[in-house]
Amino acid sequence: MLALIWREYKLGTTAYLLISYILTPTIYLIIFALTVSTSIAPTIIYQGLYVNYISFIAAGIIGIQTLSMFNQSFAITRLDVITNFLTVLMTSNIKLYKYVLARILTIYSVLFTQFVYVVFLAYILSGYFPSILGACLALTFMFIGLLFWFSLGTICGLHIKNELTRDIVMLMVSTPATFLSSSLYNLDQAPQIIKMLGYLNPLTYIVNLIRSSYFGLTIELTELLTLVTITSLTLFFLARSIHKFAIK
Amino acid sequence: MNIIEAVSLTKIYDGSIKAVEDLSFRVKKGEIFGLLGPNGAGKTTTIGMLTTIIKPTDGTAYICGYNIQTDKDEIRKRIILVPQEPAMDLFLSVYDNLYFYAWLQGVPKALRRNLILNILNELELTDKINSQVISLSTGLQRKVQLARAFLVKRDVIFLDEPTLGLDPIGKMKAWDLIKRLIKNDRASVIIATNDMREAEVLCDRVLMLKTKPIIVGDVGELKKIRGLTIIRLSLKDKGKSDFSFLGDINGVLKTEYKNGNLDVTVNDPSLVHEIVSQLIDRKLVLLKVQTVEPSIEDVFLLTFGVK
Repeated sequence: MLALIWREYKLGTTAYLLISYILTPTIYLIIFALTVSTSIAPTIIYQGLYVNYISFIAAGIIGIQTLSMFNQSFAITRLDVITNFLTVLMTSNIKLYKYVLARILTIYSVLFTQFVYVVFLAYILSGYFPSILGACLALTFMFIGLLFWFSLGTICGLHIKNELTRDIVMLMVSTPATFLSSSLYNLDQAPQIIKMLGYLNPLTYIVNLIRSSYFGLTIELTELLTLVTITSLTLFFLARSIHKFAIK
Repeated sequence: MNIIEAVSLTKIYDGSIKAVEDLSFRVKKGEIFGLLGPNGAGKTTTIGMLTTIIKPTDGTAYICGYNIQTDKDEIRKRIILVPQEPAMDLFLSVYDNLYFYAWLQGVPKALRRNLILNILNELELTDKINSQVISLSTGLQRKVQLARAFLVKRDVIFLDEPTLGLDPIGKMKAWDLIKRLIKNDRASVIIATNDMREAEVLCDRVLMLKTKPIIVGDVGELKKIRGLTIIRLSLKDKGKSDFSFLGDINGVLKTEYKNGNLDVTVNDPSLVHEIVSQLIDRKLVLLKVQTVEPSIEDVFLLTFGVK
């Protein structure tokens, strides 16, 4: 297990990846959020409260970062399947659940670092800092979101062998999921059709729960139950896929 | 003592596609055993079943006395698999790849570094120790993969097409290396290949299969069993002849004309008289007639019905 975590860190701490981990949230916050808040509207109504757009976006960015783990886990799992890395693991008497756990732990540590970075950057830009309890709750929902997208990506990586299909699936998931969610705007103020489609998107629930925690607002129980249910289902299918893969 | 014993191994995919059928064989301790067959013959599936990765539809096998169906964990402690694809992290260095694998295999931390340095030294890879695997040539990547296979000692090593994609010099070096390392380890080795020269150089015994087992024996024996002889005829001038008429002689299996020599593979050496007389009838001038020992490739081609 430790060897697997070591491998994940070695692979995940190349200079390019480290830059991209920092660059993506920075671009969202500085270029997008700062521009919108200064040129269009500095505040936005969320759950009846006027909140700073930069802080609003900060919670959305954390959600988007969990979504980015879908593509990452899809690509890495697929690579590990086609290069027979998983086969080598199995013949080395390593259970595949350990491989999954090692990857989840590593990814969570990356997301945790990004979370801290985003929160501090948003504080510098907007002056808002979440409470400790709010931040802990947001980290918990971020973890559930990570489990959901990671599981979905890993399932796809285990089943989809074709590169073209992989690219299409990645594109069909990540772009619509980002924009048809509450990450960049208040979905409740969007046109009815967008709102309806947005609530079919798991990212909306992840972002809403992170955002409510971030601003110290009431957690919607239905949203929490929805997210927990779909994540449990995805984890169940992940366990099934791994089991099937291990006993071809 | 048999290290591997396969008993009527069968694998059927999707209820109807037979990949391997009724395969039985034994491999002794320290023996290098070749699985030969054309593409799709079931070599990789057989290795998959023996390494407990693929579940047999029927039959079973024993590795070091353990059943592949019920004692997977015990078997996995005793084997090493080198798959066809380089199952390495391309963006990690040679050292990191080997370090990770040694760790995975339970080598204590204090021993890992020395073990890696020794094997890299043995394989003349010391200067590549910090190179990313992706920056290495195919041949060097294969070498690193072999280094990983021989990093720790196990009872059985499975090599699936170990020299696939290497140039002739690279292959010869790899074969030499495999032979040397196996000699040191005294491990039993199963090599799946469709490179006949590789089988001839490395294997003590081979099994030719095409879904079902066709023939098994040591390389020299197989040539005798098939009763093959190559009659080499040196011709002064080929003329317009394409030698297809020789194919009509019962017992002629293959004809090949190259550099003034006509090689006729037959299953009965006495056919030389008929072949010579047919060539003379067609006004061809023979400079020399000799018999040549067939290669394992000829045996392979005959076994799989290529004329």
